[in-house]
Amino acid sequence: MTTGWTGKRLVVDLSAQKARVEEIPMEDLHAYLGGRGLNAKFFFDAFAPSASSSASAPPIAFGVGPLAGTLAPCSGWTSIATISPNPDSPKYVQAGLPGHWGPQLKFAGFDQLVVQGKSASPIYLAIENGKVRFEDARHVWGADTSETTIRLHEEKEGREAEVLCIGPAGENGVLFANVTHRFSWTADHVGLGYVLGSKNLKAIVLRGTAPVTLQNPERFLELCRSLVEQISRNPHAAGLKEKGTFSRLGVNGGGLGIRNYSETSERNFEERWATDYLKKYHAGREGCFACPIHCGRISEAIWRAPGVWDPAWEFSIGKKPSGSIAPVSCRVSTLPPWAPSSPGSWTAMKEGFCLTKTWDRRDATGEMSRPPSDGSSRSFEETRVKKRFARVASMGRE
Amino acid sequence: MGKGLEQVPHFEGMDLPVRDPRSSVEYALSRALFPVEWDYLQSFIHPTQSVPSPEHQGSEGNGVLERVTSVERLKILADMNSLCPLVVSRLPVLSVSHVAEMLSIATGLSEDLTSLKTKVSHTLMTETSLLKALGGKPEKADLFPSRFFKDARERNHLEKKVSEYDPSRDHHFFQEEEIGS
Repeated sequence: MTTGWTGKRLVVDLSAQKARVEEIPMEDLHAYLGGRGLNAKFFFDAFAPSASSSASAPPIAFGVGPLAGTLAPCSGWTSIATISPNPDSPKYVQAGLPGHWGPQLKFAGFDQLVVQGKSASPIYLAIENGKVRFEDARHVWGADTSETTIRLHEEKEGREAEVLCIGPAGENGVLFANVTHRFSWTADHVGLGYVLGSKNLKAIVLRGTAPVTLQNPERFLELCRSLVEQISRNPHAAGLKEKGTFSRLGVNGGGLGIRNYSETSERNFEERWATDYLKKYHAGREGCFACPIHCGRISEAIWRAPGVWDPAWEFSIGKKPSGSIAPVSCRVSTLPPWAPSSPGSWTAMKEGFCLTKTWDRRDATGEMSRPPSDGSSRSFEETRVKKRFARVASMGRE
Repeated sequence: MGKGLEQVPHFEGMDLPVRDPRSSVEYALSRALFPVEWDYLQSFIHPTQSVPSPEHQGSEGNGVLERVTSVERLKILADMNSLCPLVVSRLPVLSVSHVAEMLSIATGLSEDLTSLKTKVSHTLMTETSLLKALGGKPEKADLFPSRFFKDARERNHLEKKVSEYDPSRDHHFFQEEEIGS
């Protein structure tokens, strides 16, 4: 009997719209544990013998480890792996997805989900307690990740479901498109959104109630309580809790490269940025499954001038608006059709680190449009942002 | 980024889609040695990890390579167990012995430092073999685009402020307007 693991892999074929459950060999679980290891093993078995990555629709694998879905502190991450579409990046790629989606995969009954093939039309997968539904996603095709999440929750799947989805970037073949979960958490940089988009797969919705079995639940609970206590006393964790990723600005060069990355930014620059953010825009915190730290940040801000205001440390470099790509590409072709028609930028509610994004909107000549001086479009923006903020708040954030 | 904050990462006015390894030695080494993920968290190494261990004092690079290798392997361990890489490898708050103890109690396996180290190496070898089999990055002689290795400061056209590249990016960024105001 396996404890910690479910010992099962769900393999979904989008082309045939069929799914099957496979037993994961016990020796693989013991050797690779789960998550990243299990994904590497799957792709090695599938691709290394033939030494070919030329499949038109490569599979994408989602894996979790034996601690996912338990009370182990900070055990909310999912490893996602695929064959990268980007010719300049490694062909086998993987990225981590924080949040609540991975534990829900375990509750649905699986250690690993593999999606193969390509659907003929836009669909989303709904997996509930081991059962798979292939649902029409044409009504959300073109919607950004926030809109998609909310609509899937409100229209059919319910708010308890965990949604992983792509935005217009993935749909339109942007090579470095992300996948997004709960408005903010992304697995990024390696084109996972592109791969889902190429499969016509808009989202994967999970919901499960299966228990996670443990070898010694009482001892495990005792250990987890002890570790949470230790974490609460840890000064580094406290810094992360208080300031989020800003707490590490400037350390080891930080993430704020300047002058085309030939230098790192000055300390006072970073402190000013962090201080300004905490003072003016910080609205709350959020955390991954079973995480006592909650380093995610919810921000409130609205209606910037054209450009991108993005107060999170990481996103200062690789910004991830709701379209799930860097904003430079949003400007080109991927603004969703329901974006405000008024000139200027619009604000999308999202983000654990930063709930607010302002996107550029350029006209056909490439000129940056300006917001109307009379503020006529602001009420539209405020309504949208307030609505989404209330929606996020209702999801149990701090 | 606005008034007084005009120096931001960009390439000819565009945002960089990924992290540039020049921001830190640790980052560049990580990028070169552990090629599966482009990991911005590499620059998140805790200061205590930046101090070279006694056996590496005075060695070339002051043990940076060893430190990066150690931190990256911790990250793989976190990825294998659905744990937060910040908490396990970057700060770190949870130690390997904590992870081993949780795994042992959860699964019934007898995990310890050595067994986990072996499993991380196993995963790393599998990924590397897969990359090689697919003709991926490890076989390339030059891992980064050539522009990464040139001194950007010698390029006059990269000395401009953002506002010079994009006049629309000006002080309007810091308008004091917030929800409900």
